[in-house]
Amino acid sequence: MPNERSRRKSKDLTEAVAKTATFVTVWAVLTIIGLLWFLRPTFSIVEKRELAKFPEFSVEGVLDGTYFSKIDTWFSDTFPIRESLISFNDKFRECYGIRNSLIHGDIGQGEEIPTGTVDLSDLLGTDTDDPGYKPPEVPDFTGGGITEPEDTPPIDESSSEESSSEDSSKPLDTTKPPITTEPPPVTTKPEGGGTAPPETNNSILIYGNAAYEFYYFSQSVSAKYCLAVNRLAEALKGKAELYNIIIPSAGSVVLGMDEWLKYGSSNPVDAIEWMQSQMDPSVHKINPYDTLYAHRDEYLFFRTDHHWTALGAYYTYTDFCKAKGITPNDLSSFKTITIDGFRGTLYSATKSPKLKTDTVIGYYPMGTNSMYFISKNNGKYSKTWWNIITDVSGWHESLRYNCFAGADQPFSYAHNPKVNDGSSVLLVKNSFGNAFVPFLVDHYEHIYWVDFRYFESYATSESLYNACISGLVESKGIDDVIILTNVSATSTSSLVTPLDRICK
Amino acid sequence: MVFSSLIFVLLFLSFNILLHTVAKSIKVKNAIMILFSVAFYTWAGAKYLVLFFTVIFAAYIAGLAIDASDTKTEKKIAMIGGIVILLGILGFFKYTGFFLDNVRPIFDLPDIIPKIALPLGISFYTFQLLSYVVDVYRGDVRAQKNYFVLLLYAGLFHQCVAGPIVRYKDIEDDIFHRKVDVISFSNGISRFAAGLGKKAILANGCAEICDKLIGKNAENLAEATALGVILACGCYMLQIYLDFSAYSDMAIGMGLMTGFRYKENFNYPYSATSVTDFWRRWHMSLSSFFRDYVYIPLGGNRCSIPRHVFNMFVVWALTGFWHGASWNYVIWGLYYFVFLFLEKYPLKKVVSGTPTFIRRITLLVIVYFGWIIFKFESFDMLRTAFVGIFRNPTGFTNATVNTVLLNNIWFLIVAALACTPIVPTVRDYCRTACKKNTLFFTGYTVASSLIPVALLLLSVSALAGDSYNPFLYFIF
Repeated sequence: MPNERSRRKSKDLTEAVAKTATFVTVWAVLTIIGLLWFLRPTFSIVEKRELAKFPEFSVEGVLDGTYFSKIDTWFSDTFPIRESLISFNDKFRECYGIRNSLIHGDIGQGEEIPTGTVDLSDLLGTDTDDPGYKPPEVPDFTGGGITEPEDTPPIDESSSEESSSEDSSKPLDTTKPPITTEPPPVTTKPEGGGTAPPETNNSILIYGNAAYEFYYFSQSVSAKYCLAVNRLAEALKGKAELYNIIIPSAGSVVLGMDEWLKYGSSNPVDAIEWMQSQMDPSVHKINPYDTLYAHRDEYLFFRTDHHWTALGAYYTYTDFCKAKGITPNDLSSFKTITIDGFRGTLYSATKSPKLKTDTVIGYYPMGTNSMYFISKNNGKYSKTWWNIITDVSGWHESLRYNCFAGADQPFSYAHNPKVNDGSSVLLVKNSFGNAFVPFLVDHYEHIYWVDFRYFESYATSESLYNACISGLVESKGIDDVIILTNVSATSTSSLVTPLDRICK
Repeated sequence: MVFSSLIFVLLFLSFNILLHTVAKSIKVKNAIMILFSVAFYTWAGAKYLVLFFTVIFAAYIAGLAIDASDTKTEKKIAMIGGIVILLGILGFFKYTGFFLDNVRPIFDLPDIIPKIALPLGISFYTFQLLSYVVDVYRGDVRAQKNYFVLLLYAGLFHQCVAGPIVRYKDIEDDIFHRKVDVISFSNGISRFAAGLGKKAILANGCAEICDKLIGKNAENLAEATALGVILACGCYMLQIYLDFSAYSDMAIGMGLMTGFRYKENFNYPYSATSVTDFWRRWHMSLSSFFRDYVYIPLGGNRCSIPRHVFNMFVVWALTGFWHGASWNYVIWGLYYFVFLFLEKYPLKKVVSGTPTFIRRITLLVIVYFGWIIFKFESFDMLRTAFVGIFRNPTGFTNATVNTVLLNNIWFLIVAALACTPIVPTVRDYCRTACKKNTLFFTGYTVASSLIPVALLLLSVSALAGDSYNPFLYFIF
């Protein structure tokens, strides 16, 4: 018996030593990794945000504990192998259940979509002007291209455009070098900043190998959107034609409306129809749902990103041409570029291995591929020459939607030397408009596009156009104005507000 | 700082264990534990340290005064003085807002109700010190002459967040004579890793599903389907046990790694067979506190039936009130009073004659609805939750709820199993069986070494994502 007892004791000891040695080793390694401050990242490309900074010391913060809670956040936010750990955790969570379709994020609930004509200002509720509102800051641009020398006046876009319009027979500065689009280094921030309003919500359905962002209708924000369009329509009467395009949710097109609504999303078609029914009769309204739905088996929306593909933009462009009474170019007439390996925002959010990597196809405009945009460089606005369709295959996998139209810039311009009638168009858009721009180019001589999130900040800073769309239209003599956004944006206050402020 | 954070697990605790292990003398070990505990409280706001030191000082002086008193009356006065100060401070910080909230509709005063933050651990260290003062009065322990020893007892960071409520007499010996051998250290590792996993993976996962199904506000709750509300409340039931018991597991594990042996605080309460049994298994250190310091002094059950019922009423009203300064907690406590009364008196024979399986199911149903009362401080939301379950205008279910359920079905089964004694039962069976065969024993040793590591890695991975919120700053 004593032998048996001592053998058992010995086994207990063996087990304890093995367990302690294994655990302490792994624990120590993780602790040491946490102490390697020089490995701590400051920016997350996957999340597209600055990571938490080590807080500045303050006696008040020490007394109330906020200083220490910020250290907690910093420690975990900048942990050296954090993204690998998150990725590991995401893979582990795949075995939580049966995940043929998956709800990611919180389940929301859209408000009731009104029917008939209503007084829009009644619906505004608390979503009124905030006197302390500050427009989103324009992020610093860190890509390639050719930037005007720093000693040139901050912005000379008006003079350059004037010169081109004065002598329209002269081909625009396409002699400006067709761009050395050096990719931004993968380890640096793609477009800096951290103040831009979110363009999507955090509710996502993964269905098959694709992810779809939910859409939740908001009465007050949608009403604000309609009022903004109407205000702009009033301001543009007799000066320019106004077109409104609202892109339906990807899920409603690809999965079909019945299936999509089962998951509690608001009905985007009802919402678009209602919003457009509230708009001034002078506005040309385009709801591309039917056209897109007719092509639902084609590659209209990215699987890993909340944007549409250029093909989706093309079919919507055909609807625009119909509304304008022009003939769209045949898809086969465009030269293309194919960029593989795109994993966009919805992949970043869900990290789901079910999502199939995307391919970006860009359609080169036939008139010109040359453009410039105004962007912020080191806090100062300057002009950068760029390509409308840019080969971004060397860029980070999450940045490949930047292939289109120079991405999200406060002001962009292209001159089409193949059209000499002085025609001009202004696209007021969020990032969905980027893929639309290449198709517009061939129908106008002057193509302008502004990202409504950043336009006010830029125009105010440079004292241009009275910081509004009608000011820009008058300044440039623009014929057609198109407001294009996705339907989710029309229910997102942080997106409609900057649009609302420039729609006058 | 919470136990389930990277900075705690990978910096604070690892250095605490390292320094404690390499320290030779018990004095140095105690000094290390005091320093780390003070740092832990400082992390929640240095201004509360004054309160922390003062409360302990009050108990320290009360203990000395009781010890120094010659007569029973003097001892009693010293004890009551200590209790009044301790409860007065707890009452001020925890219940002032609640009291004024309820007084204002009657007297129309005050205009502004001050928002008083609840200092970290005040409910736990105050109760520990109350037990100390009463135990000194009763002669169960000698008053501690060294303030810092009492500071170590009351403020040890292991149990200050969520218990267990430790009695001084239970760890007095450990404070001066504790030893850690490799077996107890490895047991501590297993216990801490199990607690961390329960918190970071299971409890947080259940909370996430609950929030996903019913959101965090009244509007979302009202729009949830019946199955959504039922599932969400079920997740909350799992979460609250896993969360609470996880903290006790971590405390017990950290104690074992540093030589402190704390009593168990939970004994698989969801496998209880009656409400009485449930409360013998749920937060045992709190139940025994109320039993020893309130219920028995009031007369316990050795009195008339009306008096016994009154004693039970007081204990359960106080139990509810201890959990939070809101009427729903009081109602939650009295909800259990009603069931305990029924079990002890009118339905005593019915309960004892009911098959165990039925009793378990009945208990789970009672506890389930109890947690719904506990969850919603707002009566409007509480009503909405009950309407959501029984007369839901939105319908029974929808594709979203079904999808969330299917997405997490294996997870929920594991979380439910973690609330039962199945894991220790299987572990003990395997250990016994494997010790008979060398090969099996090797396999068992490998598995028992890897499981805590796996739990640590999975927990750290889950905690790493706490600040992961990619949509906040979308710029496309």
